[in-house]
Amino acid sequence: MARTISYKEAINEALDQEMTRDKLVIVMGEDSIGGTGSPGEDDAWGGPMGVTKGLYGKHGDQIMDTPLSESAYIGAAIGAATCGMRPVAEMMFVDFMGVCFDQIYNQAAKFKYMFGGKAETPVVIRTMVGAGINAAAQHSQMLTSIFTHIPGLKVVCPSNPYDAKGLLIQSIRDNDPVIFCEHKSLYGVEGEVSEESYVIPFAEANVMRDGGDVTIVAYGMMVGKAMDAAETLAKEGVECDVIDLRTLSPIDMETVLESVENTGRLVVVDEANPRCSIATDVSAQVAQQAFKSLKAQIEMVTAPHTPVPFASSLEDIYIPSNDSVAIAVRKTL
Amino acid sequence: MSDNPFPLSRDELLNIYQTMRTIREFEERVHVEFSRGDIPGFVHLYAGEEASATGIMTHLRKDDRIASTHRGHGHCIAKGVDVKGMMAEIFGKKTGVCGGKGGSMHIADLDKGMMGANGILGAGAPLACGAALAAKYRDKGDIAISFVGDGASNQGTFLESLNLASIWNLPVVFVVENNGYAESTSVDWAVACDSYVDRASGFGMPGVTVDGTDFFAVYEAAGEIIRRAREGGGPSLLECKMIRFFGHFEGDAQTYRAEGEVDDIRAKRDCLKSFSKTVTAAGVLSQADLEACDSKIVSLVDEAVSEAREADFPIEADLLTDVYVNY
Amino acid sequence: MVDSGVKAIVVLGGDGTHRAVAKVCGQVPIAGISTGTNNAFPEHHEPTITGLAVGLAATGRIPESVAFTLNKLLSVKINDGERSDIALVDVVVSTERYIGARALWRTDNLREIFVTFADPEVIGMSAIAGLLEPVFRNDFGGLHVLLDDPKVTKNLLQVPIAPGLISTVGVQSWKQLEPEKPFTLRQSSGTIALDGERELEFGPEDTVQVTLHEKAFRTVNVGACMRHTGQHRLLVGAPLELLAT
Repeated sequence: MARTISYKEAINEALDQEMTRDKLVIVMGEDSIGGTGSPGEDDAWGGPMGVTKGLYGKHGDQIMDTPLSESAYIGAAIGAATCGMRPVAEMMFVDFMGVCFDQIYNQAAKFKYMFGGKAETPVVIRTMVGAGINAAAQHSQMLTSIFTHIPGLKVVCPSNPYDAKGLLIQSIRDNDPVIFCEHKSLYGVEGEVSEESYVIPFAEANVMRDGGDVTIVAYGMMVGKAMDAAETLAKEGVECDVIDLRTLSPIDMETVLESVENTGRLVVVDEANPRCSIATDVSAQVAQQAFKSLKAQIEMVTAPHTPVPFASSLEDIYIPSNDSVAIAVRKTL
Repeated sequence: MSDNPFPLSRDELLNIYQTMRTIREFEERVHVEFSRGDIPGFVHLYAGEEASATGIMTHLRKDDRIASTHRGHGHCIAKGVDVKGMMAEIFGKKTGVCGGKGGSMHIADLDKGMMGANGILGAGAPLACGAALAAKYRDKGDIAISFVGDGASNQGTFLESLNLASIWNLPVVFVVENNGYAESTSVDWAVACDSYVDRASGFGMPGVTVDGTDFFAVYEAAGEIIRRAREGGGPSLLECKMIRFFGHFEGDAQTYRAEGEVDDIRAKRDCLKSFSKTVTAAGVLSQADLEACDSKIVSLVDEAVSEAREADFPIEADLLTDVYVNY
Repeated sequence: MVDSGVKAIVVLGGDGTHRAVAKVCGQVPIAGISTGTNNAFPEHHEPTITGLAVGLAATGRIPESVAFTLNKLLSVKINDGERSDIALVDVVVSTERYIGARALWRTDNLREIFVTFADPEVIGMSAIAGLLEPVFRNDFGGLHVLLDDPKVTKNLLQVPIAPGLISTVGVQSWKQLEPEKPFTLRQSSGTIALDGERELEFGPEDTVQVTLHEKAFRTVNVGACMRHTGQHRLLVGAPLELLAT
């Protein structure tokens, strides 16, 4: 049965249901319970944004607080995964990847390959991405392309509550290392989510809207911007296909190519910085594989090549807006 | 038959000799083969350090895990990884334990609890904490060992792991194989504390230092701290003071070492020689026993090399396999 | 060192380090600063005070009779000196046949203990003696204790052997250890630990003798030095003035 819950609650539900189903699913992170060793309430925080609240009460030992030690505990989650556990470790902000990246890209990503197939590393690293809450330069990046670049990692970026739950459950059941990107500005967004457990397979993009004139490809928070732009453009008589990639690695290029072969026009919207991004990746793949179908240059709507600014007046410009998407679409016409 | 003063039976002692001797023969032979130019990439040899790996691994069970360093051949052999498979891997052949896709620096066999040699120094420490966490959940008294060198003992990953292991009371043992040199840099310069025991106590766990060239010293100390970890007593740190015969990597001219230093240690601090002397002096094993062992091992390693040379390289299709379980 | 005028040696370390220094430089007075854990020999003073005391003693500001104390030591000779060594606090004989990792922590295989002093306030092997019959550093003689396997004997003693560790030992008998009287070990084989570390292995073909020696080496008496310093106001004055005198 479906009911309306938030993106954050959908993630909590996915964790709760998987932890109930399988005792090997252990959850860890800084303040994931909150309050360990402190004199006040247990479960004081339930994660910095309350995403894991309530899990300690239901699952006890299956969830643990970690010290401020990413390379140790992310590495421990990875090591435990190679020993049969199914850990879900939280790297609080994707911006913190610098302090533990080796464990992710040199260890987890490469074990299966380097060890000739014998290793399996079913670890999920949940992490907050994106701008929009004035968290400034070191707490607002996307960095999705960096993980996507690494063979051996899978990268997932849901845009709505329904996808968040299904993709997280799929991530936990997947036997490869998955970077599960939760957009911090979407935590409060509500949507219809089924009560039961369900999965959404990887590499299945979601065609949010059929139009036929222009293809807009987006992921994460940009999907909402693309949909708003599409509505505006519809009033001008331009009907857009809007495709939510859902997973960046593996990526569903088939759906994108099918749409572009029909529309001949592509706009890629990516909140990350423009150099070597998902936008450039998708654009290049389309240019290479569907060149003959293109009727206009490919347009990319991205953040500028700058760190994320603090002031709202600047952050608002930094993040691609509905208007900038609509402008890009018009350029292809 | 003399009575046996050691805490190990005659057969166990013979096995131990065999393990150390296999490591020595393997490494000395890889040194030769590497100099012929037939082994690609980087190789880091464990010759001279056999007593550490063997003294510790003798206490381990099938489900105990180890995370090794870049200098992992000795740990592999002591943990029971197939010698022929290892040689083939080092030669980059398809019959290698990693299908030729890992090489010396990533040599591993998860079936044997060997979580891998690691090209990133210190990276094994968090992984060993993870293995210990999994062991804790399994609750069968299994443990994990994290090997680091004196160089990696300064890595953030190692220090963070000491802290994490203490606060989570993990059944993990951190072994610092202090051979005095981190590549070319002396431990006296690079490590701030006078003793690793102090470093251990700084992170809330006990520490012990032993002569890493004395098998019995390693065996006894390791036995005690492993027993403690199995019984839920938490992590400890064991420093094995030892020496390496070869350079940091094959091709290292070792000009940072004093003149005659290597010849001197081969003569005076060879753990194999001191082990042999101790067990034969006590009359538990004879020179003949050891020599019989020697010739079997020399044949084994010789076969390993010829089979490795004969084996096929992986093929183009192998390039794309095993990136993911499924994609 | 004596020839070159060294007046005192400050030793930073455990029992083993102090023993090594006393063995080789026994003619020069020693001031010990205990580092590490589980040390019986060096007395515990704030190292700053030890440094002050040694400085005042070495520069002759304190009379030698006050500044230095004479200490006992134990000598161990195997086969009439073929192998020999010393201990500053205790010589422990165990049935353990090999040196291994050196530390002593199992009490069931201990058979004889010889101590230079037996202080009940100290942990370690000498505590075994200290809890039976205290003998202090400046008392005459030492103590010789015969032990048994605690599983077979009725006379048991609880001893703080190591930090956090109280163990049971089986006691057969004990008596005063007279100086200069060599004791031949009854045990035919085993290991001998000197100041808590197994150092010597011996077998049936070896004869082992343990002897207590009085007034064998000097230590700086930090307490006496500082009391003298206080009573005679030796540190009154500006630093340069003190140097000048």
